[in-house]
Amino acid sequence: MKRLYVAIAILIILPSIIIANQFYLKGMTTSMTEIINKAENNAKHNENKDAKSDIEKFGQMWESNNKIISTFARHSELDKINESNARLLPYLENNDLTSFSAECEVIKAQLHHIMHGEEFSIDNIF
Amino acid sequence: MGVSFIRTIILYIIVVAAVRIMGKRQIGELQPSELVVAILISELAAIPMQETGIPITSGVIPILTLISMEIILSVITMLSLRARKLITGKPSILISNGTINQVEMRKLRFTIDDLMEELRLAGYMSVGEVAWAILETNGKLSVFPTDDNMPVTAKLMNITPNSGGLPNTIISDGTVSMITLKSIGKDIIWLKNLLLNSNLVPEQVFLMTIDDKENTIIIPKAK
Repeated sequence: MKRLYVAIAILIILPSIIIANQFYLKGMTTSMTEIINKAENNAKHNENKDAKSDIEKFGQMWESNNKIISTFARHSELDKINESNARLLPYLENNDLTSFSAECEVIKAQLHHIMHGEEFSIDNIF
Repeated sequence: MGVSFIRTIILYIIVVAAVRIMGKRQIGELQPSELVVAILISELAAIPMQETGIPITSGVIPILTLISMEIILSVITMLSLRARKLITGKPSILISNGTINQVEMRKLRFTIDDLMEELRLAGYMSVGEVAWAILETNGKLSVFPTDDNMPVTAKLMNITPNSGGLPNTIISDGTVSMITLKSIGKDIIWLKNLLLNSNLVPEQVFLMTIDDKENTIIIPKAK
């Protein structure tokens, strides 16, 4: 019976972790997408200084979240965000707004993809 | 490479713990569901071991889930006869009263060669020697001989065996088990005196056992 209790405990703990993980991912991707949107808007209105501080804020936030996300997301997906993140500042400094905007979209799409990949949905399950 | 090394150690510990949680029953005899779990666990553990780009949790979570499901399923099969029949199936009688059940064999896709092989493995050369053969749910064939082919037992011969019971190991590779000595009500002085008769000290003994009737077996270490 001891084994049964262990099994039940595992089956309670695991879904709890998975649900908590989904809430965390949703919150994280929403706040990070907001920062990227803000940076994109600032860059469009030629407020490069504000855009730069947004990107730096995004970088710091990504750095701290990256450690947690890497425990459940494929590392290749995180690398794509790392690469795009590294390109953002040089594009901004060189006033290459088209490329900057494109990289912002890549990051947003990748964040959405990571979040969507962990969701309980029919297309994910099948 | 270092990552693979550490991941392998972590997954090894998890898989060993998993098999331990599943219980001893798993090692000796695999029911269909247990076989599935065993194959799946080995696959699940192998992928994150080699692919460092895949998070280790993608292997650990399915392993833990499988074990939990397997334990719950085994408890259900233990409690419910209907569930047991559904999940593990029921034994099939292949030889009944010396007659081969051909319908059952066809149903199980069990050829006569398979049957003969299993009978030979059980120590029978001919079908005529067998009264009953039952294919168990774990795939093993239980074979029961006809009355005239039954092995002679002490009961058949009306003999009372003079068994000394299960022997206890007192010395193993030169190391004295004080717990065993205490459990049989002896002490180290008794042991040393006993060994002295054979001109030995405990460190020179490879194996020493004693049964309930104080029959001892002493095997000295090879020099």
